[in-house]
Amino acid sequence: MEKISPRQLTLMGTGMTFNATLISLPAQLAGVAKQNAWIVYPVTAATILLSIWALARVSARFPSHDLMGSLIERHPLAGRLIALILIAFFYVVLVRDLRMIIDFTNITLLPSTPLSVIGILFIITIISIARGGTEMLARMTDLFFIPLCFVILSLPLLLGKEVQLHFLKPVLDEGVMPILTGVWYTFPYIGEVLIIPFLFTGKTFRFKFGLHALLFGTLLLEILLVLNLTVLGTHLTGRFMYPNHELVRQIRITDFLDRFDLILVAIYLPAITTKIAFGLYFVCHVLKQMMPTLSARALVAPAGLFSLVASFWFFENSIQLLNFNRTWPLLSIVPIYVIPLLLLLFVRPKKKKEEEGSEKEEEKKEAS
Amino acid sequence: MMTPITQSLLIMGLAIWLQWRELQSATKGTRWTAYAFYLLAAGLWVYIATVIRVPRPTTLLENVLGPWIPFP
Repeated sequence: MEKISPRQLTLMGTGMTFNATLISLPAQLAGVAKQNAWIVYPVTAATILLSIWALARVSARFPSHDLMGSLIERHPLAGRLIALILIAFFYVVLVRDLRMIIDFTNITLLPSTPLSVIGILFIITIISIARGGTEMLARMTDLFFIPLCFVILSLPLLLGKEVQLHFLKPVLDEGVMPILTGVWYTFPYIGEVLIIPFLFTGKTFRFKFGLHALLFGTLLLEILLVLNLTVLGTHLTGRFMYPNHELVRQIRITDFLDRFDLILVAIYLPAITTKIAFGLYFVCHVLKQMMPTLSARALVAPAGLFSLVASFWFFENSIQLLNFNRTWPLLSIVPIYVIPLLLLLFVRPKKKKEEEGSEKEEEKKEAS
Repeated sequence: MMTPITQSLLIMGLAIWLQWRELQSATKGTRWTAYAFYLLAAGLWVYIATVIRVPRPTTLLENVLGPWIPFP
């Protein structure tokens, strides 16, 4: 049995919330909600909190099994259908994140390297991490996500003199509609934290871990977005492809360290690679739970290679990735809000009498 | 210059070769699911690289779901 500490679990959840969101959403949020974009993350987190609470309640009903396993065991048909929906959701997330990080690397670091070469290098790393299982993922998170958190938390100090708080005014001048539009774009990203209760047992996962992961991830995103709005301004943030990268480029620590962005990217790339690997591991793990004869470890490489090819098929370029953020929430409502609610209402462990009855039936069958 | 078919054969062939022992010792279901993934990936790679106007699932979804999106 692989052992994960509460800290690792929380950090993995934070990573799911934070890592992909920080490069794909800030520009769109600034474009939609303008100077009020900073309100979007807390509102979205509050809606996701309800789903986490629902899943934590269901998870607590099955202390010795993970949620997906107990669901498939309790309701074989409906459970498999839900598993299929979650596989599809996290596979698209995996494909989208993979393409996003390939484009990011191509634009910021390796402009003359073909996308396919960057993609192959990434997918080899992702497959290697995902094959290691949850312990490997947890250790990778410890290794790279903690330094990334320290860097993000230190950004307000490093950029303090550039901050202009009046860029955040006027507040709510166009009403709540732009905020709600921002929430529409954001909830599928922050809702990815729901992967945690589906993977870990009721003993390992508790509501407070999910809560901490969500709050910490939202705090990190909020720091970056507020800094974007107050340092770069609303108009520039909305027009950059990667405003957070531009933000970090504003930092100059003495004369010899004027490329602070390279240090940050060097920490960030392994962190998002781990996040993508977590998605790949989840997909293969749930496939195995749906069909117990399959080996999750052996499927990681083929599923990973297919996701690389799918990332080039799904998205023609980076612009299409951003456009998809408008459509994707409509499909994400089911896995993020509907499934947790349905599980809360309908999934309960077998009653003792029912269990005894089924055991007797099994015994009879064996005897005959 | 390598053609898309050569590229896909090379990459998928290398992947299967590296995983050969593991797949041989795995169950039949795992083996055939893995081969199906590799075959699909190779076919898709060739298709994307050779066809000029590739129909993309995301574009299709945007067209179909666009009218139901409640926000601009």
